[in-house]
Parts: sequence; structure tokens; C-alpha cells
Amino acid sequence: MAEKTTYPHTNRPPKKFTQKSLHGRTRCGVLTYKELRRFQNFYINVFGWDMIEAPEAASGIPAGDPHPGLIMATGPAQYDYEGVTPGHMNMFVHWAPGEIEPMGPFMEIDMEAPLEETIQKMIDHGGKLILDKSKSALAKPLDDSKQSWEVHAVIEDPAGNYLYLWKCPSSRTWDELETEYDVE
Amino acid sequence: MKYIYTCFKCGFPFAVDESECPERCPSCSAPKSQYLVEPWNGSIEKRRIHVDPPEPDPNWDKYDVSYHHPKHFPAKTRHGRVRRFVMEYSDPQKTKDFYTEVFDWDIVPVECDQDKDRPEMFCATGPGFANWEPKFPSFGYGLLKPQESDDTGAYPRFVVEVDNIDELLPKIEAYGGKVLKGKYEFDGKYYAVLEDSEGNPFYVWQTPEDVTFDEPESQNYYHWDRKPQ
Repeated sequence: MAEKTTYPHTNRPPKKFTQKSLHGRTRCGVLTYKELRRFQNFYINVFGWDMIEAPEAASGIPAGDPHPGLIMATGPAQYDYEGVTPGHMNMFVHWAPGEIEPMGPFMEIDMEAPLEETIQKMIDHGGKLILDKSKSALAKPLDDSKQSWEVHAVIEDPAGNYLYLWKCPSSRTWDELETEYDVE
Repeated sequence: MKYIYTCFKCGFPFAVDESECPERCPSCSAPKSQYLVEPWNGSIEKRRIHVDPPEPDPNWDKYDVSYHHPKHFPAKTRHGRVRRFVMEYSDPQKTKDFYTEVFDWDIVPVECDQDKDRPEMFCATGPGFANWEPKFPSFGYGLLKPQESDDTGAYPRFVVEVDNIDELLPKIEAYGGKVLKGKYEFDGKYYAVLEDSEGNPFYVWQTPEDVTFDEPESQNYYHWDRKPQ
């Protein structure tokens, strides 16, 4: 294997992530579009990305809507559009009714802990819960009563970046390729 | 009563109470009539019904967004893969602490910025190799950059790897995008800053010449040895 990388760091390898938890992993990017066909035309022809309409359970938008949410593979993917090789991120796309929103990471949060508790920890560390739909079309009040594949909360970090948080339903089997972790 | 439902169209299994069973498959939007059903037996791992996922169709209409098997990406190229996300910071310590304490990230200044007060910082968000490439599929590593480091004023948010920037740039405007900053060199690597047809800014990064395509992140099929390291 080649030694050189994108951003080499010679001092030490990254720390070991040894817990059976995907808390904090940036699973994909959240991107917005204004005109679907124009957006497709750009990314299909320039980068060869592959896209499907996101199911309602993940986007909250019913099938066949003129402004669908999309799941996009930017590299090799499994049948459910999870990546199949390490080192690249797929994209989660939605229509922006207003301005294009800055791209932000779609991150997983603790499956076991209550949503409110996880969010409170972020607020305690200088994050902000975004509820204003005009700031992000995905912003919404916290609701931990139903398991879903949708974005659970939009958070602004201390520097103003938007994070889209998702709490995985308990249907995870830990057989999935993306659920691996470092074993000591 | 709780059941395990397996979608016949895409093979996705999920377990919910009968009363909460969704009208459409959470993975592919197929209607409820496509579900195969078995009683909950304590674990989704122990389910009896397994459905083979669909095969890719090379003649699929690329603009058709209804559910289909993802395309096969060609070998020996990483063209188009979103390799890193990028976020900006104003206060390096505060932002670093936020991600380290709340999300358990591992953050280091990049090699050429080791001694700077406001370095570009590299973020490991999950398990990685010794060379700071992610070890497992479907998650990303990223960069925290000081706000003032971007001279285009556009705040690019992600890095797409491409085969050749010189060949790419003419295509950008042809497909409705913009070149915000033409090809430039940084630390021996080639970059450009672009904007897509919708106004999303991003970096492109040219695959370096020392890439052998033996790297895990260069593969176009799954080959990872899943045994614990």
C-alpha cells in the first residue's frame, strides 16, 4: 500500500474507535438543489454520480413529489446506497425552497441515549439547535417518540457550520459493513 | 404484534410493530404489498427470510431516480468520489473542543500547519488506517479550515477527487457550473474551486501520481477483510 496520502500526518495514526457506536461519524453530505434536472445534468455528466429518490421514511417527502429528496452514490455503493469501499462519502440531497443551504455533514448520534440528552450536550458545548425552517428546510423540533430514518435535528456548531443529526432505529443488526469499529 | 418485514424489491429488512408498519419500504419506497413478513423472534439477525438485492442494469436511464441497483463504478479511477467534507472555524480551540468532546472526533493539524496558531485541521470521525484514511465504508473524514483561508469567499464545503483537472474545467461551464478558482498547487497536490449548477461551492482534488490503486479507498468493489484487526 502506498504510504503517502491526501493529508499525511507522520506523528501518529488516528485514535482507535473501539466502541460499538457510530456516534459522531459523518455518514454522508447534505446538499440542496433548486432545479432537479439541472442539478442531475451537472453531477451525472461531470462526476458520474448515481441517484435514487429517497424513500419517504428518510426524506419525509412522499414518493413522486416534484421536488424529491435524493440519495446519491459518488462511488461504489451497496444495494441500499451505503458505500461499499472506505474513503468516500455519498450524498443526501433535498430541494431548497429558498436559498441554497451550505453543505453540511449528515452525522450519526448515539442510538441508545435519549435524543434530548445528546442535543443538550451539544448546546452545553456551544452548539445551537436550529428550529427556523428558513435557515434549513430540514430543521424541526426534537421528537424522540418515533424511530425514523429522517434527520432528527439540525445543529449549528460554534463556528456556524450546520450539522444534520440522525439517530439510527434499533433495527440495526451490526452486520452492516459501515458498523465496524476498531477491535483491540 | 412485532414483525420482521423484508422488502422483496430491494431486500431491506426491518422490524416494527404491526401498527407502525410503513406504507412504503423505508429503503426503496416499494408499496407494502412487496413486504415478506415473519414474526419477530428476538433479533433481526435471526430472520429466516433473505432476499437477494437486485442486479445493476448498465442501460438504466441515468436521470430516472426511481429505485435501482447502484451503478458499477469503473476500476482504477477515483473520479467523482466525495473524499472529504470541509468546515470553517473562527475560534480553533472552541471548535476543536466541540467536536472532540461531543462527537469523539480525533483532530490534528495537517502536517504543513503543525506550528501555526490557526492551522488547517484534519478530523477522523471513525476508525482509520495509519495513513489517516477511513478504514470502513460509508463514512467520511474531513477538514476544519480557518475562515480566512479561503480566498474565493465561497466557503467550499467538500472535496471531490478527479482524474484530471485540466480536462475537467471545460466541462464545468458546459454543464452549468462555474470555475471560482482555476487549477492551483498546494503542498504538491493540484486543486481547483468550483461551483455546481445550483450554487454549491466545492473543491476538486486531482488524484496524485503516486496512487497505485491498491489502496482500500481506490477499490471499486468490496474487498475489506472483515476479521478484527
